[in-house]
Amino acid sequence: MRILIVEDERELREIVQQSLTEAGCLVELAADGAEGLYKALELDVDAVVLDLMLPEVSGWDLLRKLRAKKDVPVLILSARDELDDRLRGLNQGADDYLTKPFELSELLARLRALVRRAAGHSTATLEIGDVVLDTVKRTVTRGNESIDLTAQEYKLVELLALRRGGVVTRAVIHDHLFGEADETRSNLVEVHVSNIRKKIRPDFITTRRGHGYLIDG
Amino acid sequence: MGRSIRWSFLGWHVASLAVVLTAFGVAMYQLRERTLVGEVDRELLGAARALDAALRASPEPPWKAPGSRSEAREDANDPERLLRRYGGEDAIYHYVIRRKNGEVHSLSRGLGEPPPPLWLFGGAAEQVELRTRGEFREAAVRGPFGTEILVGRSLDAEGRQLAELLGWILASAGGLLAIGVAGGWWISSRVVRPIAVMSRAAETISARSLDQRLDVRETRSELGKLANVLNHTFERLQDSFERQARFTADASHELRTPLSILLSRIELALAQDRSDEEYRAALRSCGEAAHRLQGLVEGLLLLARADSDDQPPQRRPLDLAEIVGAVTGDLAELAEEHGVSVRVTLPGRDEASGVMGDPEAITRVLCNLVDNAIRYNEPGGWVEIALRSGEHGEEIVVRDSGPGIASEHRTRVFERFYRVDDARSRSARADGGAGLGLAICRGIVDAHGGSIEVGAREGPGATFIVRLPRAG
Repeated sequence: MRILIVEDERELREIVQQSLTEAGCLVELAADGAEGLYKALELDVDAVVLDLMLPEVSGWDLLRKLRAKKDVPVLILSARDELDDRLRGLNQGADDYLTKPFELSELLARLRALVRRAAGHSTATLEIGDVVLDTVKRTVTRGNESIDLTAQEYKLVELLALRRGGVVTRAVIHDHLFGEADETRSNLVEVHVSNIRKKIRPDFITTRRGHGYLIDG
Repeated sequence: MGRSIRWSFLGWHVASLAVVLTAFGVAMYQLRERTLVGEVDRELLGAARALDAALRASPEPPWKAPGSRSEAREDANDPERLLRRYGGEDAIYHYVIRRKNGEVHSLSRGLGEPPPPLWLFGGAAEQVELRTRGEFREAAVRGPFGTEILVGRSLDAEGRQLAELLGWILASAGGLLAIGVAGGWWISSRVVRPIAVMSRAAETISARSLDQRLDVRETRSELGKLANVLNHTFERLQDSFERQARFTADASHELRTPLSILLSRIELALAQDRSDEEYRAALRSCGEAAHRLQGLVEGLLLLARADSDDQPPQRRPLDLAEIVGAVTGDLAELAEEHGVSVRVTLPGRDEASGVMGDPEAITRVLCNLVDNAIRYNEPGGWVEIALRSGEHGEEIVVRDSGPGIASEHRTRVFERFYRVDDARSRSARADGGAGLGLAICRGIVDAHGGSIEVGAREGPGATFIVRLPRAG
């Protein structure tokens, strides 16, 4: 999962970043509303964690402007716990509302649920034929046999599984695996795909030449 | 509700009406009575004088005993006939004529026992006496040769007239009273109804719906004015409620942020095994968050105490120059860190400032102001602290070369949690960035009976002026 965190508190931003990274997410950061809006519009992220009281552009404005153009799931993470604020947030297009102080584990679970629902699934496990992905434990099993994937390989499988039936370009895969900052554009994606095919089965991932990869539905 | 006003109004109204009507009725009755008796008196006196004149003209002197002959004859001067002629057929007079020695000379038939003599061997010749005896009114005059002529008649007719008058007075007074009560009821209803409406409306205005107002259609009457006064009160109440609610929301936001950092940092550190360096970093981060919380809690407590405490601050003579010295000493390191130079201008004089107060609190005020002046500044900038004697007391002036404060923020910077920049650039904040510092300053200065304000902009930077009144 690739998550954008818009939070002006440096400490909190770092904590959430580290926590999500350790949970296997790719994290993008924005320290103010303007940067947050730009990144939310420009980057292909799976979800946005949004603080409300932000400098430059407030969380409310960001949400409104973002919703005018994009459907990405948004989780508001705010110290404002009044019912009015929560209702306003959800009514203005946020998908979830979490008040500070919060549990990191709850934030992660809610983000997973948001991303899952946005992709059209309602359970934490994804089944592709006899292959089962557990997005909470981050494991892949085939029949009763557990398949040992590296963190990057798992991310790639999860990305394709969440967008099952649709072609995912190599650039998008690269961004989700290594982030915007990485400009190497190496052939690591091809290497990972080849390794996954070897570990699961050769036809698990289909190549669309000139477009990208997909897992058939 | 409204009942007691209405009833007491009605009570007073009816009571005063009853007093007026009673007084009027009594006066009317007495006046009529006096007039009637006066008429009777005139009539009786006239009759007595007529008898007197008849006696004087009589060939038989009254001292002679009336003989049977004289009783028998038809005397034109017979008192009975005279009186009948005088008063008409309806008038039934009685009379008694006594001789000078008190003996009865003659009296009316059917009078029974004659009344005792009035004058015996004395009194002036022209003496007249009027009196009421039982149901009779009587007039007595002096006749010839010291005789006493008394004429009286019953007051029955007058009594009937007066009784009739009394009945009439009572009936009309009762009628007027009834009309008065009805009118009073109607007026009191008209007075009380808008009060009842207002109090019902005011009852619905509670803490939850303070934005409602009473309906003020007209503002000239007392009730309109009252409604206006109440509306103004509600406005102030709403204002203070909203300020309180905002303060609470801000305080909870400010408390939650470091608390979130603290809790999340701990959760993150415990999520998996980490290196010693990582644990140390987590603990440092927790420490910083805890310090921030501590500063915030202390500031809030200070303000809460200032709000609830009406006690005046300690009153010790303040050496403002010494306080300025202490603060600049304490903040020298911070100033150096920020590349800001601090200049102090003290008045060259020996006598004490004459300001009384709590040195610790005033030090905190100056410390907050200078701290802000240093942090909201630019490298190479300056902060100027000056003491001067103003019209309203001693003044401490803190000026800086920073970006200054826009005029729209000038009065609001002293509000709790108010921030000039919504950006919340926390690193540049004395109290952990909560925005309580200036509110605390104002609380302290207010408690000292002084004032604190942002001076009008003259050149770059902001100017804060603290005025403290001189003792005595």
